[in-house]
Formats: sequence, C-alpha cells, structure tokens
Amino acid sequence: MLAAPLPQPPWGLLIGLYFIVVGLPTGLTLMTAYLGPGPGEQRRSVERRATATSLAVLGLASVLLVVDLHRPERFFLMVTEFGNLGSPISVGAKLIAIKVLLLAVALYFLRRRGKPAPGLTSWAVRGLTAALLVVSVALTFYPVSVLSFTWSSPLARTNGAYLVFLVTTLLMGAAGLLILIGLRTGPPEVDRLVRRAGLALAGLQLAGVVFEGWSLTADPAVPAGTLHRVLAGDYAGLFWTSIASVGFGAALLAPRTGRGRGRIAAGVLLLTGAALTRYLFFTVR
Amino acid sequence: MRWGMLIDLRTCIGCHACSVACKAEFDVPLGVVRDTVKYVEEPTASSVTRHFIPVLCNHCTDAPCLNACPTSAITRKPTGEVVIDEGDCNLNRFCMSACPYGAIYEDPEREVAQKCNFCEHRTAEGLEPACVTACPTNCRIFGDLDDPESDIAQRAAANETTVWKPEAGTQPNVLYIDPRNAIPLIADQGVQVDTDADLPGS
Repeated sequence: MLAAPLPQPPWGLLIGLYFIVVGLPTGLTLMTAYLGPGPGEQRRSVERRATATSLAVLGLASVLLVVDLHRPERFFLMVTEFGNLGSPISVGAKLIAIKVLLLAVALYFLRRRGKPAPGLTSWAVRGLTAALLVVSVALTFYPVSVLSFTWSSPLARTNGAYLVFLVTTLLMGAAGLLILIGLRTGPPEVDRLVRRAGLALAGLQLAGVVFEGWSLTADPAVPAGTLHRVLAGDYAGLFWTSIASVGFGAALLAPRTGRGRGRIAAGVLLLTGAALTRYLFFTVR
Repeated sequence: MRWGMLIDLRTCIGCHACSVACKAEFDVPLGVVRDTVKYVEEPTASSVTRHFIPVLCNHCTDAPCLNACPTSAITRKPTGEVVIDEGDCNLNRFCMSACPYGAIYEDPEREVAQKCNFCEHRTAEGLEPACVTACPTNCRIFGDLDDPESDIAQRAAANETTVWKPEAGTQPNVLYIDPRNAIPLIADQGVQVDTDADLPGS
C-alpha cells in the first residue's frame, strides 16, 4: 500500500477544477457527433453554439493550467519543450492545442451556414469531423491517465476509473447540450435525442460508480478504508451530493416534453453531478 | 555504468552529518531536504528500539518523475543518476505527484523543482557525494553498481539488501543492508520532513 510521501499534495483546487472543466468541451464534441448533422437552421445553431462553447471552455481550461504553474511565465515551455511523449501531460497539451485548432476551423465552417469553402470537398469536412472525434476520445481518457500516474489520487489507479471518466465526459456533454437547448429552444428531434442520451448516461454513471466501488475493494494498491471514507467518511458529502445531483437531473428529464427551464435545470444538475464525481477522483487521498 | 548508493543500517548512528553536509553543499532552503535521516521507534514487548534510516532520492531505474515530466527537465545522465535541469522546469509539479518517495521539493528561492542529484558536480571530478564523505561511520558506500569489482557491488553481493517501497516498482538504485527489517517501518513516509511538530513562528 503506497501512502502519501509528501505532507501536502502538490496540486490544489485549480488543477482539480481543470480536471473537471476539461471534460465539458470533450463531451460536447462527442455528443454533437452523436446528434449527427441535420437540416435546418435550428439544428446548425445548436451545433454552432456547442462548438463555440467547447472552444471557450477549452480556452478557460488552458488558462487554469497556466495560472496553476508556479512559474506561469514559463508556460511557453508547453510549446517549445513538451517533448516527452511518455508524459500524459505532454500528450494532453498537444491534444488540447490540436483540438483548439480543429474547433476554430469547424466553427468557421459552421458560421458559413454549412457551406464549405470554395474548392473544399466534403472529404475535407469529414476528415475534420473524424479528427475532432479521435482527439476528443483521446482527451476523454487524458485526465484519468494523468491522475493514475500520481500517488495523490488512488481512485484513478483502478479499472473503474476509466469507465467513470468516459461516462462523466459524455454526461457533461449531454448536460451542456440540454442547457444550450433550454436557453434557446432547439428542434424537437434534438431534444429527444439528448434527453434519451442524458437518461442513459445517468444510468451508466450509477453503474460506473458501482464498478469503481468494487474495483476499490479488489485493488491491493488502493489504501485500505478508501471506499468507506468515500461512502461514509470524509468524502461522503461530496459523493452523495454527486449521486443526488445526477438522480434529480435524470428525474427532471423523465417527462418526454419539457420546457426550457426544466431542460436547463436538468442540465445543471447532471453537470454538477458529473463534475463532483470527477472532483472526487482528484481529491480522495 | 550505474551510480548507486548502499546504506548499511547496522552502522548508521543518526548523527545527521549527511543531511547537514547536503544542506551546506546545495544551500537547501529551510523546510525542505534532499537527504535526511528518519528516526523510527519500534516497540517490542519489553522495550523500544530506535532505528536510523537515511533517505534520499533513489535515482530509480524506472523513474516515475522522469516519465512524468512533460518538459524533459528531468533526465538521466550516462552514469545513471536522475537529475533536474532548472532551465526547463516550469513547476507544473507532476514529478512531485508521481514520485512515491517524496524526494522532490519545490525550491522557493530558485523557483524550480529540486532533489538529490548524487552531487553530480563532485562525482564529475572523481569525488564522492557530500553525504558519503561526511558520514563518520562510513555507512554510506557510493559507486558503480554495474562494476563487479567496485566496493559497492561487492558489499551488495555479500549482504542481503533491500530497497525502500519495493511495491512501487521503481527499481531504486539506493540499497539498504537492513538485518533488523526497519525499512518497512517508513513505508508510509517520504523524504521531505514532516513539519507538523514545528513550534509556531518557526
């Protein structure tokens, strides 16, 4: 059993927020791909807003990363010296940079009302979509890959961790879409698709958490008593709040037709639950 | 060639000459250490035994800090020791999160991550690390673990040796002769001194 070798963990709240925030743009991209292209300005509007939100939140995540550096003036090393491809942070920084570029290009195409630039074939557009998907899938697992390297996040070293991060990423994406749809009423078919995805992912979240709990008891590298501290100890409040948040969010999604406020509330609750679950992985020692 | 250190716990007297020499050699700031000595009490049925266990960076063969560092500020020299290049360090602190020994600290004055480097400036001149030279009981032996004729290799072969936190799987190059099985007593500790016992104002 490996215990904490330092009096305080080297990373604090800023990096904790980073690991939460970086899930939203990834989830939005993946859920937008799940919706697929569709006719109509309303559909394209949802896609535009999701892409723009992804870009903005990814920028915020990058700012969090730079501000957290104890030598932020050396942030340029992320570009000039991040050559160690064995380091998940190095790979993640490159993936984020690539995704920012891809999102910017995608947003440009979307603002042209779906019309490709002169001379640009549909293959290029498909290539862009495929590249966004590949990078987003990689970014889904990047945070848990980083945390699994550390002694300060024993929850991240289990088999269940990767499943939980996949589900919370998708759940954050679905929640983000619900909020976007609720703010400006989206087309009914989008509402239906996102509602179904949200309910399914809420159920998967519960399954993922149960699997993670089993993984904690089965893994000898995890400090004894960790599961108890999550369920009934120091971290119980955080854990059960995340479960309740996802549960109430799913309950608000249950009606087949919903108003804007209902969708926004469901989205906020699901987003909060997914975020708190990810934060648990970061903060549980 | 692979620099390593063998520490004989049978002869360590806990005098801290090694940690003082290290502090002086590198002007290590207050509150952090590159090398220290753990005092560990082990109660038995009728008495208490005190063990002195010097700890430092283990210059692991499979160094998690080296794998973690995104800027390649942490590298391995041809002689095997793992060192930090201050110029490439932006204090993202991933190395500190990855090291299971707590060997890396944040130097508040130089604003970089720092740790023991086996006194590479001394070994490059044919000298031994400062802690080895300072030890009055010669409990620290430094040398090339890959040279079967070296003192360290011969002592390691002649005695049963162990390492700190073998379950971490890092293959440390700091070995211990530990017949009283004291190393497991610090399985939950790190190199950096726990300052919880400090008095207010210190």
